[in-house]
Amino acid sequence: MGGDPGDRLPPERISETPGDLQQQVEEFGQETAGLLSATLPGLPDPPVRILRYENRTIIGPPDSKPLPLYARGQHLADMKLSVACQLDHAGQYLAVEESTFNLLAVLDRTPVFRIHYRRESPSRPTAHVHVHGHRGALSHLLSQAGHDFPHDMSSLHIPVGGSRFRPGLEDFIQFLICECRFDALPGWQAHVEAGRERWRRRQAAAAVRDVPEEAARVLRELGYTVESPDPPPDTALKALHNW
Amino acid sequence: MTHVQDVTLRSLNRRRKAILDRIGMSYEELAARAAKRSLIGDEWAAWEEIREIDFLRNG
Repeated sequence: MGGDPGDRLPPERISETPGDLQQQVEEFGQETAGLLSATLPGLPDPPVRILRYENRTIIGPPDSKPLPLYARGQHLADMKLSVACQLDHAGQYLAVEESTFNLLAVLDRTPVFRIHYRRESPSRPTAHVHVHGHRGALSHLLSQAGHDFPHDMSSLHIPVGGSRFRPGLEDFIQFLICECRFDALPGWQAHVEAGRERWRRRQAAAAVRDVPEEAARVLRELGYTVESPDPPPDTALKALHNW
Repeated sequence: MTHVQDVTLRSLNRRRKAILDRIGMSYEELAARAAKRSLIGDEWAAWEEIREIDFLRNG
């Protein structure tokens, strides 16, 4: 993490209200804990803890132990969740620097599937998926193309929407429930949808800050009266160009 | 209720050492295995926790 501050991707805000780090991170931790507790059965209470050192925090499971996932009542897999946050340069808003959502098999304690985000990721997609699987044809073509790890499918960083349009925790939870068929609590879907709405509203706000003139143009088309400040704010080209 | 737990540099360093001791590797050995995509079993969890600790320590 780090890099030249002038070359950094503009941060998204976890909260739209500036405040102290403790308040913002506790609210974010509560949202995460509430979502997990309302959707997946058999989790510890609370399902996440927040560690803080200086202006940096990590939100993850208690004692860094992955959260159990059950299928037909059987503990078959674990979920690893980690969100690294830091106050932005102005010291006002909490921003996600890195996040990881992993599905791990109990059998070998190794990931099956990972969704990873790194805000500063110069040579890889900022948001990407790793699939830990095997496919002979893929190994063959990667080998022919001179890839460094042709036999390891998980070495591929499959891009998923960049910083602003990447999947959220809600998408991962729904994937686990609907696609992988892990057990869920009754009423889970309403909590996932409410959380996803919250997530996408925040991401939309960040996207508007990236392209304020574009946002103003669309609002005018919708009938709003919008006046541009003089000079108009810059477009965050890095946010648009980053993969 | 989810509360913020403040940690000290000393406790982070202690935890980091305990993780490496548990898997019987130096940081350099573990990092090399991660770079070569050779992590197995508990090394995955160890590597991810070490990275979290290093984020807290160094940003």
